[in-house]
Amino acid sequence: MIINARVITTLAMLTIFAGMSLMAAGYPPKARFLPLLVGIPGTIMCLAQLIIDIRQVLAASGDGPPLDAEAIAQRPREARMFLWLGAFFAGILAFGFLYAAPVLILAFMRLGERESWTASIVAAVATFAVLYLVFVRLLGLFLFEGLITPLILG
Amino acid sequence: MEIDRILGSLLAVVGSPTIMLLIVIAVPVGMFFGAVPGLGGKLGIVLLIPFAFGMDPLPGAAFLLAMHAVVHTGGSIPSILFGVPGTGPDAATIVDGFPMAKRGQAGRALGASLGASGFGGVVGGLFLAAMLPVLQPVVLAFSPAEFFLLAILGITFIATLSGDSLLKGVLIGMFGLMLSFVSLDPFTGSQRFTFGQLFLWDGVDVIAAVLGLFAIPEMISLGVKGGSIAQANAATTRYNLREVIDGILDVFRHFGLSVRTSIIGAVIGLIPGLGGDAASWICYGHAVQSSKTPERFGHGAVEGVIAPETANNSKEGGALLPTLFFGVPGSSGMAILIGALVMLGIRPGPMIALTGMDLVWSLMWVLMIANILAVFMFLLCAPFFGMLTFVRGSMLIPFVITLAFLGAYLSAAAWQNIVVLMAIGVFGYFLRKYRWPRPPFVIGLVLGPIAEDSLHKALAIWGPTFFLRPLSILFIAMILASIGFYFWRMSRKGRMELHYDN
Repeated sequence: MIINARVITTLAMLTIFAGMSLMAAGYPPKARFLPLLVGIPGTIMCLAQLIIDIRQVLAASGDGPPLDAEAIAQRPREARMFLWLGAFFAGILAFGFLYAAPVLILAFMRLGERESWTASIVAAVATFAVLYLVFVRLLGLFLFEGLITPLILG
Repeated sequence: MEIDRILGSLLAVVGSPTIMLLIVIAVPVGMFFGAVPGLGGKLGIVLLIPFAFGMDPLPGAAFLLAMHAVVHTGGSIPSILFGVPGTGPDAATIVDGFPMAKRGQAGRALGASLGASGFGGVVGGLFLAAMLPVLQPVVLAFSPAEFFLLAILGITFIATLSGDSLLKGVLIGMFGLMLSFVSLDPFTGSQRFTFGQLFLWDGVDVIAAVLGLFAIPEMISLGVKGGSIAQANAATTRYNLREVIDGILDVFRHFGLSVRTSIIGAVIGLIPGLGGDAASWICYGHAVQSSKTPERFGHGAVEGVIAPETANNSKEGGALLPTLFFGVPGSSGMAILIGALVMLGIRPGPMIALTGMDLVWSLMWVLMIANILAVFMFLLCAPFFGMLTFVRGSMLIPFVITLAFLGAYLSAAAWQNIVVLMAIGVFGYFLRKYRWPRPPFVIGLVLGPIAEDSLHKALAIWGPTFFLRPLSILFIAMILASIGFYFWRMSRKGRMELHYDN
């Protein structure tokens, strides 16, 4: 199969360069000068990299192990890590650092990594303590409360 | 007058309990990030950034610089004990350090690495001090034409030194440049790539981008890999303090070599992008070439530990010069430091030669104090280094991810930065996985605005003929030489592996 994650990564780079170059073409001359100076050669170089990647994939599709055999074997753990990352992202965006971070750390350590309850609870409490005592009290910083928390707390 | 300033800066650092306390905190943190394989100084500095918010410029900068300065001191520990480099530039230490540990000389190897790191750090600081009076007029003589070409030179250097593929390195540097154009155009005021989002008017936040590109991919990789971060062989982790001190004395038994490699390291650090692995391997090569018994190298020669370790720490002194005076980072770590300095209200660039010399001298003292402190802390912690084998990914991942989100948010007090971090982080993971070197991205992102501003100014003053100015020609020659160096390096691949990132 020609399309794999390696090729998709290069395709993503190509899309970014080509897309930004196209957008830049519509800007005033001074504003578009450098974006085009970088974007157009970048697009051409991405195409060259894409050809290199596809040739490597085609060469590996013959005899022997697939080019990304190790990458394929890692997919389940990779998917799990992306799910956890997504959970942290959604949790913090929704409920903010003070509330979401300790809960997510407890969940990750206990459910995700099967650490002991003691270690997981200590980590969660320590996280809350550092966030509150160091960042809020000591450094006097305002921590993001999340997009949903203010609606709940009013 | 200058002596007053130098001593005044020293007093400002050692006379401030806050700054000294911050250095004392930063040093073990830096050593920890260096000692745990897979973390490294870049990650360390981005994760400490949230803690520097709200600090005054000097304490904040001292805190981050002290941490960054001693990363390689800690990085030698896993190189010697486990045969796993803590950071890329520590790989050269393995060649002789690990064989020493395997034959029961782990303490001596650790001591030699510690002494060499401290020695190199102090010489690097002195090098910085010696260069400051020379560099000041040079910086002020630079015109926009030179700044533009210097920015391009910085990107090219990093790209050519960042991995196996020149094409990928250059592309990633250009990607960083492209993202640096996301903002209101400074000349026309028109929106560029902002999609109508107000938070993008000032550009993509460097801290959020760097956290996304380094912290998130490293943590996903750690989670995918699972298990302990380092594997240990019980025999290599047994040593006592007397052996460590004997190793420290080795640095002075090879005093000439220590001085030479420290100076070479500092000079290499001065050249944007050439630091890192190049410094340690070039100095290792020098140690072999200058030895009367080169056959001992690779089998546990103590000089093979001293040379790369002096260079690793001394290069930070050299790397501070282009970072502070030109705003052109000497390494990807320094690129992150530039972002942090801007956040603290310090703007690196030529103006610092006129208005910020007190700060520069203070940072030089911080560099030296941190390296000296690291020696004592290292000795204090020496019996516990074997415990690094128990550090598991599950203990680090959630904290690092939380700190990354926190840093991204705090850098501009904008929750949208968390989205930027997430997008760049996921993309960065695939870049890491498929061996796209990431450091050039940071350099491109940091240098983009300098390059654009300088280019427009140079074109307005001289037109396209600015390329024909004598200094411009020199810079163009250096850009071509850096590309030539890449091909030379590829032809010697295997004898001299250079990896910043992968």
